[in-house]
Amino acid sequence: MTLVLRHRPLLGAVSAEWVRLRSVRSTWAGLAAALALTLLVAPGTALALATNMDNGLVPAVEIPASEAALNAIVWAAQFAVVGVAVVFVTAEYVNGAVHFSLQAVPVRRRLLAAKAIVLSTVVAAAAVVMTVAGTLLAHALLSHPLLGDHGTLKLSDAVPDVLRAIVHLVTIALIGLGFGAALRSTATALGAVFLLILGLPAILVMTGADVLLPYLSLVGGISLMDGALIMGPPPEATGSPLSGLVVLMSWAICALTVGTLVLEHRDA
Amino acid sequence: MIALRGLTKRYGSVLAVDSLDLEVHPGRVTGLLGPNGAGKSTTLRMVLGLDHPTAGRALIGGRPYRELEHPLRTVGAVLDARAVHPGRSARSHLRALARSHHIPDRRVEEVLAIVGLTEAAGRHAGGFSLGMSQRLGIASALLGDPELLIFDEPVNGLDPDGVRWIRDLTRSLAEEGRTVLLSSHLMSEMQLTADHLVVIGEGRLIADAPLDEVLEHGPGTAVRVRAPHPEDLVAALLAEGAGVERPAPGELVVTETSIERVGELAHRAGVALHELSTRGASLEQAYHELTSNNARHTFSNGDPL
Repeated sequence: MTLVLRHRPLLGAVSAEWVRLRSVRSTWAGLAAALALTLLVAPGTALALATNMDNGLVPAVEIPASEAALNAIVWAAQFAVVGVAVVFVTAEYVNGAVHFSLQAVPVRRRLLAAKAIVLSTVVAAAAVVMTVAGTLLAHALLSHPLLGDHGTLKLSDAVPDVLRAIVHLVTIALIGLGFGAALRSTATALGAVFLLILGLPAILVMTGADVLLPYLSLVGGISLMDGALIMGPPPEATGSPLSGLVVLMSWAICALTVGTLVLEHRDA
Repeated sequence: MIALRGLTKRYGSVLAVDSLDLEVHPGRVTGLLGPNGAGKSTTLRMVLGLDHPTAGRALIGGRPYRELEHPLRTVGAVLDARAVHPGRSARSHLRALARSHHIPDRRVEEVLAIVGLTEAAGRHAGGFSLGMSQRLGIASALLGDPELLIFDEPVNGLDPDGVRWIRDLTRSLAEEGRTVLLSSHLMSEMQLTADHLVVIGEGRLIADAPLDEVLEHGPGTAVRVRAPHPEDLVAALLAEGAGVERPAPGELVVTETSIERVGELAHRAGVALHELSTRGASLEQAYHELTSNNARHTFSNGDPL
């Protein structure tokens, strides 16, 4: 009984955040953009690869179609997802709506935890839809006789790839949530997240500090995806899928920790 | 009940709230009065746990806001009625608040009806007029049927109907035995709404007393006379024991008599009058008296600071 009572405030907060997330258009626009990007880039990747194989530029092998979807998620869709995550917090600060949120849930880490739970669930569901749809579309292209029939679609490839997409997009969303809570301004938080995902890798490559690359979220994500089809640095510069998972989760934990500390200690 | 104990907020070198000690009691409307920048909003934000006090505590029923088990069922507050996501409907805004406390959706419809927003509930809050926003804010505050209500500048920007509506609502909430704390810089509004006044200026407590008492301590009813040569009238008034002040050579402020008597005496003394009028006791005068002295009067409650 005590246990049930103790968990009710978090349940209530989660239920409230679910209403908040689904009741604004920007959430659905962002997720629709992520899906659209997947459906655009996944077949594009497949098409480019098939053409290169036919022209003898790369060795002709059978490629799991789901990797085309993963490539689209790493290089395109994650940016739309991180946008949804950032705005989920920063919109509270645009005109002070956070006052009402905090009046209802004054324990601030509970408010952020509730947002994290709701966001993770929604993003995980979106990741499944994106990966499945992207895979099917890429497969339809790759397996077309006109394109050389290179595609394979096996559950043993696709299921782990769906899981990888879920982990990648959920961790990147939590990173966005943490940045949003820490920085409060949509523009600043989006700028900072994009700097982390794209800017830092570019800077490291330009300054020759490549050894640090595997510790960044972008390369961590590429390592996690673990596919020949995923664009990225040469395999020796990326780590194992497990190390990629650790890198992504570390960034997510750091971002959420900083976000929680700022939320707890700064005036609302 | 709200209790402030040495509540202090410092922003850098600015002392926004300076060791405020105060108790707000149930069953009446307490008006928090002070000019803009006096520290009213900062005080209320600390009461609601939104801002951290630099020193001191703000307690609600003996506990800080953050430790309340069901905050919305205890305190309903509107600091800024515009503080709603502009792309969210009024109904969704209220539903999110309701869900956090396991309040049924039925109650959302009830409060929408109370504030007269049922028709507009599906519209985005961003398109609301200020009056509608205030109503939505009040609906948010009423959602948990709380004992304590806090409204920061609730009549700001409202039309006369809206002002009257808020006034009647706050009065009826207090009559139901609830604690109502209302901040405003509008003294006329306070005079009509509040039972008890807390006056703050520059973050410090200036007065904490029933409205009537504040009015009594202010300048009472006086008669204002303008006359180019009032000397004979002054003599006649002084002979009758009236109080006479001469703020300017051609101007008198007469107390302890009636306007009729001043007129008769002027007539009898053959003094030509350019003006004869009463100056009623108003909260505005009492307030200016209080703040211009810059003394920290404390009336019935609490010790003098």
